[in-house]
Amino acid sequence: MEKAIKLLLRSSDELLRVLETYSIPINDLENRSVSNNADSSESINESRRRRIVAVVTHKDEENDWEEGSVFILKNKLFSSPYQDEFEIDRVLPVHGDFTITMAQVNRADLGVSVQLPSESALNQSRSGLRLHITPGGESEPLDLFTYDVQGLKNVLAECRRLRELAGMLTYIHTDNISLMACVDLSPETQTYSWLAPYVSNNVHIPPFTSVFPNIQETHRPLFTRLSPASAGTPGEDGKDVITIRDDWIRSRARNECRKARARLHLRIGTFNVNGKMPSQDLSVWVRSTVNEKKDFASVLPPLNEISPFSIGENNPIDEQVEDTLQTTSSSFSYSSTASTNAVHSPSPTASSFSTAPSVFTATPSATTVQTENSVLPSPASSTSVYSPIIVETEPVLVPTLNADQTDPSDPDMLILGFQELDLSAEALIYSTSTVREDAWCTAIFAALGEKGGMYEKLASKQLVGMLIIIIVKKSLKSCFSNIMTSSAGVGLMGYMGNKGGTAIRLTFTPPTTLIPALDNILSHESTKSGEPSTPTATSPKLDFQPSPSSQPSHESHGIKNLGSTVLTFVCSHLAAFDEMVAQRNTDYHSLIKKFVFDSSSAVSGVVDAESQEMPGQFESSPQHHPQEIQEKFSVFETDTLFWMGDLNYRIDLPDQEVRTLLSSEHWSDHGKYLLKYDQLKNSIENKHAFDMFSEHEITHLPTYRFSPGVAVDSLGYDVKRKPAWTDRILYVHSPLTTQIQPVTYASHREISFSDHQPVSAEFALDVDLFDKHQIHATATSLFRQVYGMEEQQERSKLRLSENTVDFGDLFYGREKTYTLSIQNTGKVPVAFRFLPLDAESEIHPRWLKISRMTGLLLPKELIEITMTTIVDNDVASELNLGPRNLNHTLILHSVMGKDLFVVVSATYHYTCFANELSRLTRLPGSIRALRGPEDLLHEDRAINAPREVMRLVNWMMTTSHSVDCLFLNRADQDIVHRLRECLDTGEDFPYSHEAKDSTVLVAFGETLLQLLDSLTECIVSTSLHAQCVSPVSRDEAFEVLDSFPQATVNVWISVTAFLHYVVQTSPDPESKAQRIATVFAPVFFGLFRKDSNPSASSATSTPAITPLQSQAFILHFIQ
Amino acid sequence: MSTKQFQFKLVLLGESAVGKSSLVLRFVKDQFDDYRESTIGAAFLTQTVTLEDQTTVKFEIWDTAGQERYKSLAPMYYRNANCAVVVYDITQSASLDKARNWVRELQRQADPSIVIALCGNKADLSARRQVSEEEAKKYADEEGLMWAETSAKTGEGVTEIFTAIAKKLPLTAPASRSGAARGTTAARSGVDLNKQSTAQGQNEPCNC
Repeated sequence: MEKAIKLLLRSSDELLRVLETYSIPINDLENRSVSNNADSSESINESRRRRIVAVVTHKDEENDWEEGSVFILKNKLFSSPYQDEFEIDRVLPVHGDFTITMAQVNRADLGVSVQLPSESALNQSRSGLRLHITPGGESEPLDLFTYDVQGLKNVLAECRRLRELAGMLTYIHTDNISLMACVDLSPETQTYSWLAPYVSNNVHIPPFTSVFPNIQETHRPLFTRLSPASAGTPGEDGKDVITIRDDWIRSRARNECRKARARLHLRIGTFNVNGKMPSQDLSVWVRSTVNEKKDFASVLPPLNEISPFSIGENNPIDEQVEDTLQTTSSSFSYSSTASTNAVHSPSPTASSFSTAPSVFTATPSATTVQTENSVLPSPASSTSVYSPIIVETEPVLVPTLNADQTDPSDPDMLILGFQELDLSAEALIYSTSTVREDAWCTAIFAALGEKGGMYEKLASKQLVGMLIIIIVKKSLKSCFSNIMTSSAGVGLMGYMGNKGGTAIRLTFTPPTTLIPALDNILSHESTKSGEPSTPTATSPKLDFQPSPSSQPSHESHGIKNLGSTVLTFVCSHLAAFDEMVAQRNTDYHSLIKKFVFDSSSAVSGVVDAESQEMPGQFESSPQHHPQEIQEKFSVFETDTLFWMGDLNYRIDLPDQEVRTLLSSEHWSDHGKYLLKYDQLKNSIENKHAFDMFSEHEITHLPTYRFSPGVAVDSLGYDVKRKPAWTDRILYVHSPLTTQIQPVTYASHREISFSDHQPVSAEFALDVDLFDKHQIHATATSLFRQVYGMEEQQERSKLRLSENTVDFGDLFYGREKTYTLSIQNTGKVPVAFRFLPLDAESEIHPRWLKISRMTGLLLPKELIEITMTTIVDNDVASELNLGPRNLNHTLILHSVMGKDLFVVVSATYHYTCFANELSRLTRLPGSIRALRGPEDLLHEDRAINAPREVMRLVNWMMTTSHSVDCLFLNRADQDIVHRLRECLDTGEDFPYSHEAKDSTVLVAFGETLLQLLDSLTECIVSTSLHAQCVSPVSRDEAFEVLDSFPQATVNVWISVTAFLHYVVQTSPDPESKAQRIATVFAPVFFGLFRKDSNPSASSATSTPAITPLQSQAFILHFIQ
Repeated sequence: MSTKQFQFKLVLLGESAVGKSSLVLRFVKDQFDDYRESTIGAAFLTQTVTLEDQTTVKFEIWDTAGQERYKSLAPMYYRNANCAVVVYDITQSASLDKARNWVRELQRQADPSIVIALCGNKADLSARRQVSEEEAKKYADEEGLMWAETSAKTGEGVTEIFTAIAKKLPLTAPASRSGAARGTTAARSGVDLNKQSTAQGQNEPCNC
């Protein structure tokens, strides 16, 4: 019981005494009517009359005062009779005229006609005691009855003591604790303000229970949503603390209540049917193409691994996580949720536990600098590291939602989007006909074949030519509710409905049939660990230590009412034509505004008003009557959003170039080159549209345009239309509430009656299994812990494990981590954030990443912050120009309080990588020998070519053997690292020319490529690109070199001369030249560099030089 | 309300271990610790002083770290400050030299209208005095600084110096801040709080 009471209390408050009592009804009549009920109501009656008297105090040792209060608690309505779940009935501060009197009574005196509860069972004395409590203020007195004589004596003694304490202090008389306004009083004055959070009527339920988190918003790192602030200028602390607090409550409640995840298999398809009716078998499009043995089995953990019977001493999940951590040497496996690759790690192990392991657990020691990982930082880790959630544990994945014993690879949901369903003129004006929809549904079910019987259409929405259909497994149909639809037309020239989209939003509640299996696993886990089954208790390395009161109690871990997840699907058709990319972007932005889901229009799969759930949220408070509320939801007010359709984005390369790249055998990874010029990819990257959306890797050919009966090229594309990936499937989700792993993404050439090919994508969507009442209770309890933070008077205290962090030596390509712990040593919760020195500067230097920029700690809690130094090309290009000694003071601001300083230092070792070519030619010796960044030769005395490039080329030229895979295969990175070190220090290469070791030669080749690629400006700078397009002969190409800077010419000649030699010694010079040219083209011309991005800088759709043109230019020299 | 309320940013500067944090603790909480840890960072506290005419002056006090290694951060804390208390230890003559450096820096780089008070702390240890009152007073007069000796331990002179600063601040015409920072600090500095409360509606939470 005490445990249940403590759940209600803030950690700063102490429970002294507990007394079990029963209320004495005032109205006899009411009581009689109850008593007339059948016996079965007695236990309900008992719990309804039960009142717990709790004596609670709040001490401030610093100022040496203590205030006490009596809490009257009652059993929570609708709570289980077998477990204690209380709510606060009244709060009576012990001050003023507060008195408790007692008197011996007979039951008869009470005028109670029911038998007092549990009397016989408790085997206690028949005579009880009556308590009369007179509150200190003007509120109603209270009469209670108890059998517990000793308990009552203890309560009385405690109250007497507290009364005396209250009498000793001069206090401000306050009735009824409407004390919210008392904040200006100094802490020495007795205020009882600590009681305010308990007086529930006064406490405004914070927005997290009534406002939807917008996934667009929550995708942005929390620290970017706080007020601008810097050292000594704390910004809007009062608002920031609420922002941080609400985010903390949301994440923590979810993470504490998530018991496991359940996996939904989604198959999404999009098809521009060009007005055609289905005339071919659609099965390749609608039926799962997942090869269960190959792809899927690796994603889904084998059943026996999480079977309760196999969980022994070692938790296989933990082990797998460990393995993952060890194999991914770069610990930023979850560095940026905005980056697809980072989140959806290709590692099968990582994806089966979809929340990437937290950085904290990867660092066993809090005080030592971790081992150096000599890996090049991945591109993902160069973006700002951001962790929106702490997941302390890897929840168990409940293996299947399969109620029927069918093939687990069959999708649970099939979501199909159509465009140009109906091209007839009437359709544009007015159409309610479902003839075409019906025809397509028939074709879809026919394609499902024998599996068709398992499925049922759940919902659909059509707008002229655009249609979205959701088909679900019959066995899961009852899990979907609150189905809302929306549609919107966009576009030019009044073509309303020609372009636009339709959308469906629905609520998925996992089937209750999962509960027994879940209970099984959870109960087994708790017996295994031998202690209360809190998620953190089983984890060996905690990143914080929750205070006892914030942990959900062991008894309440069972799930009774599963919380739900909101899924939203959009099918759209955006503006056509190559040059209309801006219109497509505009279409997207108008669609996201126009799509509105109105809850009053909801079609409920199940008649269940209560399941009007908020996405990723707690249920609305009990006073709410969801069925009466008309709520409107945007397309982003959801847990996951899938967006499919003929988005019509094209490729910004000339027609012929696209076709050549697609068909050329030398452009084997043509997708990489072509997608670099894909308008959608560029719109996403430049945040012009679909920002934050992810897309699975495209490995299929463009899906547009085919047409029977027109002239086609060798690949079957219409010669009049530039091929493009017009048909796409994108997704975005709330990382707190859901996990998505893309499984497949493919086009289906077999279906050829339209001018587009259909596209399909499969996803494994993991939804949280949690109890919706528990998450609400947890959030409320957490809220109580932190209530009033924005106004608190007591001083916050944070303690840092270190005030100085020395990373030691910093080298290019090597990362180091350091773990700093922050502990709340005060008595009040503290929100913290890192601040920049001033408004103009960054919070941390670019060479340093911080795993968490904000956070909230309850008293005594500790959090570990991982700091990582990463020297990639961007960082090195900056550090190479500065002093060796790096020094930065980080400012950790405890919101509403102090700034703490952490001095971070490191010694940087210069590298020849990531410099300007012209700077390399002015080095007096090796770059490490530089006395300072300005220690350069005068421009007139610059050497004619950088010695680093020449050393590599010369070594390769003089080696006595040739290797066919030079420049083509990936090299041993350890050797590359050693070679780079030799270039930086000027030391001789530790490899002999005579040793015929192909791995060394390949490493030399790759070092050269990496060095050239790292140059701050590519060898052939952008301004020279246009000249390189025209030469038609070797001589003309050489003439172009005349306009190159001298150092560039020398590098160009040396490298291409060597490449020429490589080509000549190859058995197939023609093909070799082609392949080498494709490797060097992006390096020489910086084709993959961000600044070469055509759509970024201007509206011109074609780049100055295309991949094929740059390849052709190189071929003049090496062939 | 007829009384006027003003809010000012005050920064404490001075060598390590001269008693800046103790001075603030005495002023804000009327407490004293014999052993205090060295401040690593900058602590933010507030205290209100009521003048004879019932005007209240609320000080937003930034207590900075005195250690040399954090010296480069001090400008962040004294920028936009309306007043500065530069503290030295009367038993350490070197600390007065440091104080002179701080005063010079403030005169060069802080807001030109800043009110600077020179404060000789540890007056209870006058037996070990190395800095004479005359010397300090003379220096303060030359530079136009307020000056007083205080003892955070006994409380002597502490409230007095803060009250004296409050009186010297421009209570009638709130100076427009140069190099105004964002956020509330700038908005609040030297602003009549009665007026501010009516304008609060405009201060909606920023959604950015």
